[in-house]
Amino acid sequence: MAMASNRGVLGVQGGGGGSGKFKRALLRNLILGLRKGGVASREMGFHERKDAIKRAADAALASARGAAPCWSRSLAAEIAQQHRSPGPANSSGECCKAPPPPPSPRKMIVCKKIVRRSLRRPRPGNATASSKEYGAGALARAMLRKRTTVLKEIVPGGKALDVCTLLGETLDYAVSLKAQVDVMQLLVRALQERKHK
Amino acid sequence: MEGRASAGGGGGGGGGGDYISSLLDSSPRLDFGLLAGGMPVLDGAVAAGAGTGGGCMDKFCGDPGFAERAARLSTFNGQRYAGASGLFGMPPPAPAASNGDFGCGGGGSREASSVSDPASTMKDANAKKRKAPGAKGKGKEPSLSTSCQVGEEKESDAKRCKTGEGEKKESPVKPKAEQAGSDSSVEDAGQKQGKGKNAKPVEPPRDYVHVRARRGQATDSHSLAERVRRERISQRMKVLQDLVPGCNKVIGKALMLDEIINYVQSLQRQVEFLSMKLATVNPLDFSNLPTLLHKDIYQACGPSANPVFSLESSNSAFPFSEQGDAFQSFVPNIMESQCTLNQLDLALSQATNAQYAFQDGTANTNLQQRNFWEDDLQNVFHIDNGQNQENDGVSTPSFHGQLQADHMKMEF
Repeated sequence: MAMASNRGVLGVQGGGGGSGKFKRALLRNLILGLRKGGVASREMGFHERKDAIKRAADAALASARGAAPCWSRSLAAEIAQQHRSPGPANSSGECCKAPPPPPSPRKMIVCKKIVRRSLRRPRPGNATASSKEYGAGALARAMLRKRTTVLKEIVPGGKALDVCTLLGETLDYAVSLKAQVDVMQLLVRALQERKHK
Repeated sequence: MEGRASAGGGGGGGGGGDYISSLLDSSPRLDFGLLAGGMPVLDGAVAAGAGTGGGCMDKFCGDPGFAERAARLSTFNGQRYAGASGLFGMPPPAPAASNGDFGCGGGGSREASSVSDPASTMKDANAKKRKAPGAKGKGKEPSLSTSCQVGEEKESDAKRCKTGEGEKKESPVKPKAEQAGSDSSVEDAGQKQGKGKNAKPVEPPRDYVHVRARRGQATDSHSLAERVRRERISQRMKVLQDLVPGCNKVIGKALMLDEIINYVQSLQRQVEFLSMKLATVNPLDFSNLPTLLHKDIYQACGPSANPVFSLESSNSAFPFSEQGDAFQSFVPNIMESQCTLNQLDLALSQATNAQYAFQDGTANTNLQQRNFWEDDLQNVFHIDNGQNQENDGVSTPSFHGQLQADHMKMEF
């Protein structure tokens, strides 16, 4: 027991002084969420329990991180939408709830120059506009485009972000995920220790 | 990066410049449109967070450093979203502070210092992405509250740390019409900067990015903004490179993105696996869990001098816990540590928000969006709403604002 708690202390604090409190908040939220999720009831099948635990973990992560990052809000919206209508969550999880849209004071100003330039840009490079593999620059661009698409699918709420914010969100998301993994490992270890006593 | 950026400055050039400029050209407006229209939650939630002075924020983050950064992030995001643009908002005092050389913005610099003081006392690496004018170019001091060094950004230290080093930023130049503020004014400013050296210092509450036109570079406002975005992206890629293990070896955006994607996917898979493991290991009772983790949490939190609340009333409503002592001692430690954190966060956010005037405009949506945010999370956590009336204060402390914290204090 002492060993587990010591390791637990190390686990929570060893993850870094800055994220120690975040992990504690995560752990607390996780435990509360697990209690709420009815995980301890015996009627649940294995898969249901696993899904409930995962949902609780995600909810704990989103709530511990707060509403500042974009992915956190999207994740919370997804969970809420899942909770409301249990089933496969569609990708447009947030749109279903239809929160009142904020007043947009001004329309998006489209600059004609940029639009024209964007239309003009691919054409001078390649006469044959199949535009898949021709030219090293186009190839690099295609590779990057593909990867950014994948990244947008991975990071919750990343679809509507531009690349710059997407990278920032990815950073934040990766760090938070790492903390979540550490906290869950801590929990598993603690439970296993207790079980084997 | 610099070579690439300068090569891409003309609008052609190497892969990196092409990539970003193509990204810029192809979908800047679309993204903005989506951003503005498709994510009202974000706008509202962020604006709520910003507008309420972090009233929600302080509850969310369990760490004063995080809360402070989140408050600042939220204010910045609020600025950004209020301006309906995708560019990262800039702290208003910082431009004034950076203009110290040009002898202007005394009040602004004061604001900057007041903002930066809590930041400097807090964790080192700040989460703000800020082109520090003249940070590296001429050895000027980096922008006060928002510069953060890439080397210091470790995973443990910073949740969201963007490098504030402007690589070659020296003095303020306003980019083009992606910013908040009227198109014409920004265009004028852009042309003004396009011509000359010094920019007139900015009045405090703007989210302008200050860029200097380099020698031999196109001083068109468009290319300036493009360069700003390109450098922003490259800075974030650098930070990600430090964070993601194994990214140091690869060079090139595509490979780095590969590594990042692999890393995030592996983390997600680990979460799945661990949840599965928890499902099997779970001994189906949480009664002993508090005692088990109590020591861990208590030592991690640090003993606090506040009196321990008693939660018998809420404990009786919990279907899972038999004995209340362990839970009582478990949760209140968290509660009070969080409450003290909340006070700190609230104070910080109030201090920072006092300088930002944008929240007035978003006051209407704040309440709605905040309610939406809180309602959703409440619904998630209150799956069995029937008997858990008192549990509101216990189980969802992070969702309610200051009001709830006061309510909790009054209860006990």
